[in-house]
This record gives sequence, structure tokens and C-alpha cells, in this order.
Amino acid sequence: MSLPLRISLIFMAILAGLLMAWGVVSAASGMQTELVLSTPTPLPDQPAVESGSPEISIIESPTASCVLARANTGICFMTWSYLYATADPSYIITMTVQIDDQARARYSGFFQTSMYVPSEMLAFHVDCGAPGSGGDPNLGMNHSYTIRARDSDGLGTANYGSAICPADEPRRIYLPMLQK
Amino acid sequence: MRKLFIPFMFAFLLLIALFGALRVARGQTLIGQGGEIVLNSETQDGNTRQVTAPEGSAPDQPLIGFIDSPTAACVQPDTTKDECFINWYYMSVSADPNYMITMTVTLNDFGFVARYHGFFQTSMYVPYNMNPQGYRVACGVPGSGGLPDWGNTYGYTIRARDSAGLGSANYGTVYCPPYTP
Repeated sequence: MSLPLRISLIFMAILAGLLMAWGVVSAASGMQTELVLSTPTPLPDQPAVESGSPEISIIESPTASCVLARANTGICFMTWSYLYATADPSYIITMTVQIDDQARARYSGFFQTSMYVPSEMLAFHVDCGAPGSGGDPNLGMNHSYTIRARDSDGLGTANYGSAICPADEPRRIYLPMLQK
Repeated sequence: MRKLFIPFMFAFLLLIALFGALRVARGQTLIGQGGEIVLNSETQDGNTRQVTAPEGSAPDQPLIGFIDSPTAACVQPDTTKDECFINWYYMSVSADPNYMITMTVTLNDFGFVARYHGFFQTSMYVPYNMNPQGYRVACGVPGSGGLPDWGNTYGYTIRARDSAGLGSANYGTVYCPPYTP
């Protein structure tokens, strides 16, 4: 093999190597960018919310109940048939339950556009109260509640209500006074 | 010696290119918390869900799906006790046509709290009433979890694994109502 041919072959080899290396480097930088952009997968495009037409619904919270499970304990249970809210196509982030201004439950959404909470996941002890303590002489205390929900667009919805409990107080046991 | 120079040069350049290509190929994969390859991952508002495969056996199209675990709840039934209960509306995952082997629930502060075993089944569904009240945890005083009006926060991981060795995992956080003594 002649010398010029050898030199040209060497140059070709170097050139081919450089081209391959350049291709690899550019591919790597492109993939890195794509990787960063695609992980995590972005949320699907959601339509802009116009004022006056929010995507989040009113919360359904039918049949707010206050039930005396065992007499003479003074303890009642507050519950609902269910709680339900939808924000489709946005995600529901949280739903919370407050009773008498005290937080009692927080339900966190997980990639879901609606939230349904069955009654079994809604059982809260409250005081039944003495007869008349809620205004009605035949019933007990009146407990106010607030149920709030919030979606991934930052929109919120809330239900405000109250439930009156049956009257009940803990049984008092009177001990005889014994003299020494 | 001169005759060997050109083949050596070719071999050297090819090795460099191959090394670069391997690094790129490795750079395309995400590694999960258990050291597996992440095939699919989504994150939203602090929650993450992933589908993973063991290193070296990643299929093009994973058959196991994301775990569906809506409505992570933390409920304080009785305000006189520092006692809250964590539960989910349900947990569901499918690996059809492969079999579901296990699904586990981990509260990060405590470790495993549940393990569900598949029995010749291609999907698995765990409703809330399989844990009658949920998992008992301390509610915590106001602000103890970082949010001023709420109590403790608990990170959780739900994992599922199918008969093909593929995995699926949900990572999230629940916020509990505060206990005010």
C-alpha cells in the first residue's frame, strides 16, 4: 500500500471517529433534555377556567346524620350518606371535614378527577348534649360542619350545614355516702 | 508495525464510540427507589406513581398498570384521643394476562402495614372495608406535620408486583387532623 493511500485512510478513520463521537454527544445532549422534560410526565392540557363557569362541582353531602349508638354514653356519631365532588378534567386535591370548627378528616386525591367518600369512612364522635342544649327541648346539641374541596386549578367548593343530635348524657353513678 | 497502525486506530475509535453509546443508553433509563428500571412515571402535587421492571428485563410494553388508590384519608373519629386512622377508598391494579403476586402498603414511618397476596388472579382489588377502620396513627399537635392547621403527615408507599417481575408503586402523603389536648 502506498504512503498517500495510508495517510488518506488514517484521515478517513480519524474523521469517521470524530463524526461518530459528535453524533453520540449530540444525541446524548438531546436525550438528556428530552428526559428532563418528559419525567415526570406533564399533566394533560386542561382548558382555562372562565370566571362564572368553574370546573369543580358543588359537593354532594346528603343525609347529614347524628346518631346515638349507645344510650347513656353521651356520645353520638355524625356521618353522611356519602361525600362526592368532581373537578373533571382537573384533579381533586383534597376534601376536608370540619365539625364545630375543628378539623376531623382530610381526604387526599391521588391522580383522580372526582372523589367519593362512603359513609363508612365518615364516622365522627360528637357530644350528644343535654336536652334543649341545641335549642330544641326534645333534642341535644346542634353541631355545625364545613366540608371543603379543592382542585388542581386552585378552585374550591364548600358546604356549610349543621346537624342536631339526639339528647343523651353519660350515666351518673351515685355512690352511697358511707360514714366511718 | 505500520501495517498494524490503521486497524489499531479503527479499533480505538470504535471503542470510544461504543463507550459513548453505552453511556447514552444507560442515561435514558431512570432508576427507581428499589434499584429497578422505571418504565413509566407521573408526578402531581407531591404524589408519584411508577411502573418498574428489574434491571435487564424491561419489556417494551409493560403489562402491569398504575395502582389506582384514590382518596387517601386520615380521619380523627374521637377528638379526646390522639388517634387517627389512615385508609384508602380502594386499591386496585391489573397485570392481565400476567398474575398479580402481591400488593403491599407501607407507612414510611412504621414499615409494612398490609400485604395482600394474589391467588391465580390477574387483577387485585382491595376496598376500604378490608381494613375496617384503617391504620391507627397519632394525629399530632397542630403544625407538627408542617401545615399550621393540621397534625402529623405520613408518607406512604403502595407497591404491587406481578408474575413477570414487573412492579408498580404509588408514593404519596396523607395529612391528619390535629389533636388538641
